[in-house]
Amino acid sequence: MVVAKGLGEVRGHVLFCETGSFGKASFAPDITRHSQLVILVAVIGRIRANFEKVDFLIIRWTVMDDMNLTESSNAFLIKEAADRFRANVSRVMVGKERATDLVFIALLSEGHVLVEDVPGVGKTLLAKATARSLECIFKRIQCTPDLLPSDVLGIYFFNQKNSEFELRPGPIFANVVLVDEINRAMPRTQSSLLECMQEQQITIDWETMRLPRPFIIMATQNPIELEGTFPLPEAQLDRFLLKVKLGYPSKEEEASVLVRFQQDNPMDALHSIIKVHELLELQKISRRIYIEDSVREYIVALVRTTREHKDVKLGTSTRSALALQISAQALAGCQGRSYVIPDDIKTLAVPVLSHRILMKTEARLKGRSEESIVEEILSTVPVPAE
Amino acid sequence: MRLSRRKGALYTAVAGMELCCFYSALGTVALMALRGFPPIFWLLSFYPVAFVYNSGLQASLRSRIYLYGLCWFGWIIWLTALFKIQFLDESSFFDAQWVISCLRSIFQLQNALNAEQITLISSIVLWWCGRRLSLIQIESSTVLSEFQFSMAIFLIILFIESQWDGQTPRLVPVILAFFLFSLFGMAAAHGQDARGWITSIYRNHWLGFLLFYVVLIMGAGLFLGAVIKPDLLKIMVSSLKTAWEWVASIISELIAFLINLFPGFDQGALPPVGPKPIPEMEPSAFVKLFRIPESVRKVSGFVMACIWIGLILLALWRVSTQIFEWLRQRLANGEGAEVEPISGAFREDLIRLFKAVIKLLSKWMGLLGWPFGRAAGRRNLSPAARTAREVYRQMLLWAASRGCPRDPSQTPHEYLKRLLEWLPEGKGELGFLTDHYVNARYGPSVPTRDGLERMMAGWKKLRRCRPTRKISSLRLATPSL
Repeated sequence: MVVAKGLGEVRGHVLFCETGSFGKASFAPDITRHSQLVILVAVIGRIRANFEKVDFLIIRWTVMDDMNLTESSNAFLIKEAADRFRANVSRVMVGKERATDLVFIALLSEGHVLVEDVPGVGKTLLAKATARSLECIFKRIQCTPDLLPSDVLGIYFFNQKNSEFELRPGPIFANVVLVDEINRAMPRTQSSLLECMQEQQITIDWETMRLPRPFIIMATQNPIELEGTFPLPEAQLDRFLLKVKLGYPSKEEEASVLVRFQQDNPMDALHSIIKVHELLELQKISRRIYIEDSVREYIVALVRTTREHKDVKLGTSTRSALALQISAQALAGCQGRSYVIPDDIKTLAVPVLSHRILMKTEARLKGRSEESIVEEILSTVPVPAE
Repeated sequence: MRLSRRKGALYTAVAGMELCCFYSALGTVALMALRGFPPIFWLLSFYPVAFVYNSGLQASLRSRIYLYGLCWFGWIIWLTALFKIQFLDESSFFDAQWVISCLRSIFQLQNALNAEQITLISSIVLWWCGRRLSLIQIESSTVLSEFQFSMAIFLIILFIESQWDGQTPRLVPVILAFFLFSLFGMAAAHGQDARGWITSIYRNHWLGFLLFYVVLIMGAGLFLGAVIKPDLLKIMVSSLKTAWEWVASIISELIAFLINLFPGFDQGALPPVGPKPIPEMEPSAFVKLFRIPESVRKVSGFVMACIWIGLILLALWRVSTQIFEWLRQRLANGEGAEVEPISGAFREDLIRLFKAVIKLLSKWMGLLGWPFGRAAGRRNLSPAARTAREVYRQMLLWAASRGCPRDPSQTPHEYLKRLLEWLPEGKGELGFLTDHYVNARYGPSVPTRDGLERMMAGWKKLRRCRPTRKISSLRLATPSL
């Protein structure tokens, strides 16, 4: 039996952490309880990292009667997972930390992600790296104009051996589904995703089946080549929690990509760092992040203002307000905070709201974009503060 | 001047103000006593004794139960000594009869209070106030609050004295002493908060300025003493009385008018005029059905009057609020003006009192299971969170008045970036204040006492900084991950 014993120095405070059947953690007396918690989480992480073959690990500590400490520790758990995820994906993706964080927020919020950008910037790579980082079932659907709903959902076929109809499940029966070039599929095929995206279930031949959890669709689309494509309907766009744009890498990042991919594909060496049950637990914890009433009202004000904007034909839905709240909770957790602040809302307003706005034609002709409208709204709606 | 001396000056000032009030009030109460009132100085001794005794207890004990118990145990001892010496000095100390006699006098029911009952009540009040003085942290708002409440108490005392034909002139030296203590306290409090004339280049001559102002105040007091004669005071009090009677007559006329809006059916008191009236016919059952009973009519009249009076009071309240707001905006627009709401102001204290009563009531209602009480309890902010918000609000007003206002669409952290550009030397304090405010404003946890103290200290330090330039253009950018 291996017993872990740890002694660490974190943030200038010496922490003695002994583990074993009668383990204890003692802290320097001059630090606050909040700092103690930070240190404790950090040390647990260090012990996990350094002693992976530990058979028996008990860390006992005395935390005084503060309910908020539990919430803080939950937020730190999310932060620690987010850091791990970012570090793992960045082994493949260079300089795309923001996009990686948005994808992790979508994972925590159990929402779907639409990755949109020009070809060759790493859309599919990001989706694949995400799927690899999670220990779950990953399937890919390459959308083409002749793709049928049954190719996505599955089909009942007649098995001549036992003279019965049997279900052949489609690629949708997975935890992470990469729908590549989604706008190349026909509208009827795109529509087959509506039920599964919202309700996490599918219906084939009058029979409704639940999809496995977690269930996340990562769709990519190319906004430039529009020939032979079918733009996504509003109902479908509204079902995507976030729209992520990658953008071109900088000069240094591009050079770093060349070096990294010179000999081997780093994707082959990528291993999973978050298990399914852990992700489900993190999703539960994320929903418990505190959100104050005035911050909630701020979300509502933002959403309602999109409906009254002069350049907007169709504003955002109530679902978008819900999406903004859930994703803001996840972002707060990713930053190790146990409550949502208006900065979280502002940070996520563009990725969450912009693809849900339908602009007027004249505004589009003037060269306005959905992102600029959301940013304009953000600069007009008062933030709840003194 | 050292910190301990400043604190000593503040405690002396507040104690002096309160003792002046108690002396005047006890003098007025002595008029109402049936027989033999104990010497006022004996009663006043409860106040300093309570202060010293409780300060000693707090320095040596930590348990709240022991503190509370020993505090009132001390009161019992001192009260017993007073009773024994003042009322029953002739009997032996170990004779139980004097205790029984005291208790009998206390529980005796009469038309007015007797000396023992007044002594008991006064001693409780004085002991409680002395204990309170040992517990509170005195600052400028405390001194100002004491001053305002004491002014109100003095007015009441003067009013009662004029009604009871008391000796009003005896209050003149007490009121002068009260003014002296209060102005001394305010000067010392401003010095402690590093505000007013005590900041800037004269801060090295703190003591000299303080003495100068004390002398000035004393001179002003003597001047006022020479000008304000008892006759003038009587005129002031009688004019107050007349004004009150005028207001009371208007209110009574208003109520009478409102009641007249609901005339009663009973006209029988007046003698019949003219020819003999035709006897009224018995109303039919249908008419009886729609006739409002007299009791309902009276109750509805009273309710209507209450509603009218409430509406008038509400209108007055709204108008006064608007005036205050207008004044504040005018002051805030001035160049270099600093507008700070005084937490100890009389109006704020009254509002706080009303809120406390409502909170208490809603808490009881919550215990009884009434949903309103529980909801109200959730909505209430903790005093610590309120203080953190107030400090941040003061910082916002301060920065706005010096050329760096916050745009309403800016979050505290976005505003912090602008503040740091504007005032780089206040980086530590600004960051600390913003972080603690954000935690108190949006988080579920209550700020700690240590955090609040550091916020206050940071805010005081920040106010001494002198920004050199204004930022007029707003550079807003959406925050990134």
